[in-house]
This record gives sequence, C-alpha cells and structure tokens, in this order.
Amino acid sequence: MSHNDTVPLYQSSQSDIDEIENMMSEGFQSGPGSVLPARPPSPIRPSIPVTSSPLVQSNLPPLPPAQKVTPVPVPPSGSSGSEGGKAIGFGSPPNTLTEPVWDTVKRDLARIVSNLKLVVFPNPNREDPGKALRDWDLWGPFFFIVFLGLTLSWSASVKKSEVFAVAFALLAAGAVILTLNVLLLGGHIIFFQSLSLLGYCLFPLDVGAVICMLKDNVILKMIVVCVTLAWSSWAAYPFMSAAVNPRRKALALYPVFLMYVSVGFLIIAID
Amino acid sequence: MWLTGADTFSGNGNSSTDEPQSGGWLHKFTVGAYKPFFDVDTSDVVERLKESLFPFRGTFTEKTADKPDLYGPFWICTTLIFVAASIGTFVTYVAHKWKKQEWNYDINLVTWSAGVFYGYVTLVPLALYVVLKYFSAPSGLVQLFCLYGYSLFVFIPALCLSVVPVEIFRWVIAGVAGFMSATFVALNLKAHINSAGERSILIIASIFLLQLGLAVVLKLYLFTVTV
Repeated sequence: MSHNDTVPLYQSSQSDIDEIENMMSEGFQSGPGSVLPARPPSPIRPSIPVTSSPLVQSNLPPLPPAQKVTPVPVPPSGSSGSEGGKAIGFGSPPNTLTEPVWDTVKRDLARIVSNLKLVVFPNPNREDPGKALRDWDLWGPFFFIVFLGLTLSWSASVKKSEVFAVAFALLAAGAVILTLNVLLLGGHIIFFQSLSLLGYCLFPLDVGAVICMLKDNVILKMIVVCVTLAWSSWAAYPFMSAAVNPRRKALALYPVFLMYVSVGFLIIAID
Repeated sequence: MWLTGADTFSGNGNSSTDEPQSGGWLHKFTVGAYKPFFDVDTSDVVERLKESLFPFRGTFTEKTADKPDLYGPFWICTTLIFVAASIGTFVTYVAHKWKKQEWNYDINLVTWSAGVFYGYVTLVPLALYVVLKYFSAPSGLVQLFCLYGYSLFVFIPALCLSVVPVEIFRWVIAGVAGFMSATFVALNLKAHINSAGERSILIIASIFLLQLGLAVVLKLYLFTVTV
C-alpha cells in the first residue's frame, strides 16, 4: 500500500479494513471479555493497556506507520487555504466533499456572478439565452435579500429590527407568492428556478438602497428608486412573461411590478 | 360538504370532481386543487373590475356564476394594503413636515392594514356563508369571496383621492366609496337570498352596514393625523 498516491480517503478506509481484519483474526484467540476499540486510538501512545494488552501491542507495529501517515495527508487537503489542489476520491469525477473550501466558495461565487450577468443585463442576441434558467442557484437570491434587509435596517433610525423583519418577510413571502401565482394561472415554471430569478432581479434595488443610505436627499432617493425599479422590472419581464399564456401575461406581471414598487417605497420611506 | 356546496354553484365541471377523493384531504394542499379558481384571462379580470364600479347593475353574480375567480380578490386586497400603507405614510409625512416636526416611518401601518383587509375578505364571507346555509339559501363559498374581493376595488381610487388634506373632502370620499361598495355587495346578494324569506332584509342590511363600517374605520385610522 503506497502512501504517496493522492487517494487519502481510500487509503484510510483500506487501512481500517485491514485493522478490523487483524483484530478479528486475533480476537478469536483472545481471552475472555476483551473488548477491542473499533479503531485503536492508542497506537501513538502505547502505554494504555486497558484491555487485552497483548492484542493491542501486537497490533502496534503494523499500525503506526499506516495510522501516522494516513491522517497526515487528509487534514491539509480538507482544510482551507491548501495549495495542494483537489483530492481525487473514488474515481474520476472531482469529489466536492474533499476539495478545499476556497475552491467551493470560488465556484459558487463564479456561478452567482454569471447568473447575475445573465439575469440583470439581459442581452437579446446572446448565444445561449436559457443558460441562467438551467444553472439556477439559491445563494445569490439569499444574499441579495438579506443584504437589502440589512441596508434598510441600517438606514432606519428607529425600530431597526422591525424594519428588517418586514423587509425580509415581504421579499421572501413575495417571491413565493409570485411563483404560486404563475403556477395557478397555468404557467410553466419550476418553483425554485422562479425564486432564484426573482431574487437575482433584486440586485438593482440593492444598489439603489445603498445609494439611498449614503445620500439622504428625498428627490435624489425618488429618482434613484424609480430608475432601479424600472431596471428590476425590465430584468424580470422576459422570464415571467415567457412562463404564462400570452392572454394572461398582464396578470402574471402586475404582481411582480407591485412587489418591486412596494420595496421601492420602503426604500424611500425609511430615513 | 363544503366542496359540494361550492361545486353546485361553480357550474363548470372542474377537475376536482373528476378525481373523487383521489388524495383525500391531502389533495387540498396541492396547487392543482386551486387552479380552477384562477382560470381567468386579463380581459376577464378587467371586465369584472369595471363591473364592480357600477353597483346598481346587480349583474355581477350572474357573470361570475360559472367561473368565480380568486385572483381578483387576492390581488385587490394586496394592492389595497400597499396603497393604504403608502398613502397613510405619505399623509402623516406631509402633515409632520408641514408643522416642521420630527417624523418616523411607522412600519405598523403595513401589518395593521394587512390584517384588516385580509381578515375582512376572509372572515366576513365565511360568516355569511354559514349564515346563509343556516337560512337554507346557500351560496357558493368561492362566489362570496369573489364578490367581496371585487367590492373592495372601489377603495383604491378612493384612497388615492384621500391625499387631499381637506377633512370634509376626505369624509365625503370615504362615504361615497363605502356606499358604492356596500350597495354592490347588497344588490348582488339580494336576488340570490330573497328566497330566505323575511330574514333576508336583515341580512342585507347588516352586510350593508358592515361594509360602511369598514370604510369609516379606514378613514379614521389612516387619515386622522394628530400632530
């Protein structure tokens, strides 16, 4: 069993199986009442001969090399900030469970950014218009909703936690209700995909809320909110209108507009 | 029982009768169970909204007898909540700024108006349904929701007009809107429950007063600013 290949998980599981086999074969010859630990923790400290000391100590020589080597490669590849690259698990596809955390985060961030670009800057003559729909995720929407709630809460001078609660509830419940509305009108949309798209379309309102937090002029706030509101509605329009029967398009779009207007109003009113 | 009560009056053989107790009571929790109540096009909804603005015709129940919808009531209520909260906020803001006083956004307006509107459109038709069943003049539950929901539509323009800071004007607007809404509900129910006999006048009168009461409560809570 080589210790230098890049399959630490497999390595340690094989060594576990070997241990168990060893213990079983020796356990049958053991004395009465010998309960062996499942994985002897004491090979590194052999001075704890609690039970069946001959058995533990006889296991000792082959184990430490296997035990000491295998835990060592595992932690660095599991911990963050490793430059060792991805560890390959049980075959050819990359095992996302053992990759560095930074790689996972980077991949999710890349997906959020790409979804954001596809949703919020709709380009009619892009080469693959359905890409954002297939690759939906819920991290982006979650981040945008919480960020908007936090921004509104920071801008408020009193009752900050109530403002956050109302904003969050309005946005989350609003997304769910809008999706249900489309489904009830006989539209074809996947529930979480729609939640994802509506969440991404909140991005312009996030930007608007940050600007309104920094500058406190009422006229400026109204202009900024109107512009970002129009942008959000324009981003949400293609997805919503494509999902329903054209005779019911307005019925599906009006609630979206209503929700964004009420969020915009909340942004203006909080000072 | 309630399902059959709704079915006899929503005449289209909707899908819920095609699957007799297929999922039992669990079927009520699926989206498909409520799809028949959203089977309306944009033109239908606009038509019904226009109908609600003419209370003296009394033809609303006939027109919606075969396809009562829940889309209208729900979104009218939601729009009303938003309009009420925003206009109420705007009115208090202007009043405070006029007197050069400190003003803070009252988030409770949103939750309060949500409670009032949703509660009114849910509980009053339910109570009416039970009362009518008791008096052996049953009406479909969805029909009642539909009727009450659309009757609230006239409050939207009324609230928008109430921004004008003249007190008498606001009372007049509230009165007119309340009267129109109440007449709408009363007349549309009248033809249906005349069969209930001598109690029908009592029922109609109480519905009328209830709707007027709603208008008064709205006016008092949203537009009475004590600065």
